[in-house]
Amino acid sequence: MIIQSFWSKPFLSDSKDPNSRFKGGWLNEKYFYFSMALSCLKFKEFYGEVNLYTDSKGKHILNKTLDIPYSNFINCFDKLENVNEKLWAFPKLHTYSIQDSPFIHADTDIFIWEKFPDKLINSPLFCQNIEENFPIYSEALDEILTLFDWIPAELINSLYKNKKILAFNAGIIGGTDLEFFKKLYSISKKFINKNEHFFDKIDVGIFNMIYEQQLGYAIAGKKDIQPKSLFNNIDSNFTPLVNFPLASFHTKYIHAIGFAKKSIYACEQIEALLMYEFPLEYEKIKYNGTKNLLWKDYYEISEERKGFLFSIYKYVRENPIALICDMKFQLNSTVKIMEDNDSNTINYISPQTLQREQLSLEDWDAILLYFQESISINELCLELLLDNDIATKFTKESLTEKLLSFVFDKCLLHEVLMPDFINN
Amino acid sequence: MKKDFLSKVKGAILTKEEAKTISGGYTGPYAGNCSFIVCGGYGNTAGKVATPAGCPPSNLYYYKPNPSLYCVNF
Repeated sequence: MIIQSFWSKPFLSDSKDPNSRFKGGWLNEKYFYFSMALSCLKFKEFYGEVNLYTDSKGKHILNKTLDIPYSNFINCFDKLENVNEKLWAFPKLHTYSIQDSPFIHADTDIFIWEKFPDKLINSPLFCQNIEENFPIYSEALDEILTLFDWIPAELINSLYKNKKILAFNAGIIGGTDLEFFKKLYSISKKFINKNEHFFDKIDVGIFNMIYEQQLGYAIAGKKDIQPKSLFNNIDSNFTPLVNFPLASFHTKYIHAIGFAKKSIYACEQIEALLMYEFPLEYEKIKYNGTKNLLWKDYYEISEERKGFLFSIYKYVRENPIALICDMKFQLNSTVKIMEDNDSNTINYISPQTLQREQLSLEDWDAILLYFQESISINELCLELLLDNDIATKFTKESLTEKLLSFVFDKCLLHEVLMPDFINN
Repeated sequence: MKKDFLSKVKGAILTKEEAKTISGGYTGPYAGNCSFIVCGGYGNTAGKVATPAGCPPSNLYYYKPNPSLYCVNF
C-alpha cells in the first residue's frame, strides 16, 4: 500500500520565508502539480493503489479541480489547522502514526520505474538512505541544543553513542513496526510543543529534518532497530538520485530533492515525462490547472523540444543498455567550438531559452572534444582505457557508467550532443 | 589530435566527479558547509534564490556550473 501526504497550509500561505524552501520550493506551481501527478501515476503503475492523506483544501485542489488520480483522498489534516505552517514534516509523521498495517510512504517528488525489493518493504523500518554527518544538520542542531527547553533523550543518546550525526532520509519510509511510528509522532509532538517559543531563533526548515529524520533514526536506535535503506553511500548532493537524464533505463528512482526543484532542467524533465508516459492525464491536469488559474504562465516545452525528448525517451525504453552504449553521438551541428590560447569553449543554443550559451570545456566537459566526430560511449570508453592511469582507476563498467551519465546529461538536457539516429 | 584531447581530460577523469547539471556542477564557494542540492549555489543564503549581478529582479537564473552567466526570461 503506497501512501503520500499533502498539507495545504504551507503551500497556500505564499510565504517567502527561506525556511519553507523544502515544502514546496518549486520553480513554478505547475511543477508541483505535475510532480504529484507523475509520482502518483508511477507508484500506481507498480503498486496499483496510492492513497493521499491531505486536508479539505488539498482535496479540493488535487481531486475536485485537477483530478489527480489518487485511489483515495483521506482527510486527516484539517485538525492540524493550528499547527505552525513552517512544520511541514509534522503532518507526514501524523500520517505514519495512524497506519494500521505495514506501509510505504513516498514523498510526492519521487518517481519510480521499478518496485522496491520485498526484503526492504517487509522490514520493521526502511528509508531512502542513511545520512551520516550531512552538513545541513549541524548548525541548526547547535542552536537547538543551546536554546531549547527540552530535547528528547533519544537524540542526546544517539549523538553521544555514535559521536556523529546520523539520520535517515524519509523520501521513502515505512515498515512493519507501526509502534515505532506512533512513538516518533508522540515524541516529535512534545519536542515541538515544548520549544515552539524559540522558533524565531532557529531554522525551522531544518528543524523539520531534525525531528523527522535525525530523531527518527535515534528512536530506532534506542529500540535496537537498524533502518534498512534502499540506497547506500549516497553523497550529500544526492547525486545518483537526481540523475534525470538516465531515468527509466538506468536509474529507476528519482527524487527531486531540495534545490533540484529550482532547476529548470529537472522541472522540464518532470513535465516532459508526464507528457510522454501519461499523455491523457497530462492534458487533463494542464487544462484544469490553466482553466482554474492555478499557476502563472511559465516556460512551455516547444513542439520541437518535445519531439526531441520523446525520440530519446522512446529509444532508451526500447533498447537495452548495451545497445545504447553502442549508439554513436556527435556534437550538435549548431555547436561552435572556440579556441582561445590553451582553452576551449563551446557556443551552443539552449533548447530551453533558444539563446546562445557558452560552456567552458574544462574538466569533464573537455570530453566533448571527442564528439567532433561520431563516437559511441563504448568506443570512447575503450579509447580512454588505453591510458594506463585511467585503466588503473576505472573498470570498463565503471567508466562506461560515468560516460553514460555525461553523454545523456549533455544530450537530453542541453542538446549539445545528438545521437546519430536523430542526426541521420 | 586525440592525444591532445586526452591531456585535457585525463586530470579531471582521474581526480574529479563529473559535473552533472541538476545536482550541482557548481563548485564555487558556499556560505557555510553545505551541499549544493540542499542549500543552493550562488550566494547560498539560507535557500534564497539569489539573483546574480546583471539579472533584472524579475528574472530567475537556473543552476549551471557558473550561475552568474544565466538570467532566464520566461
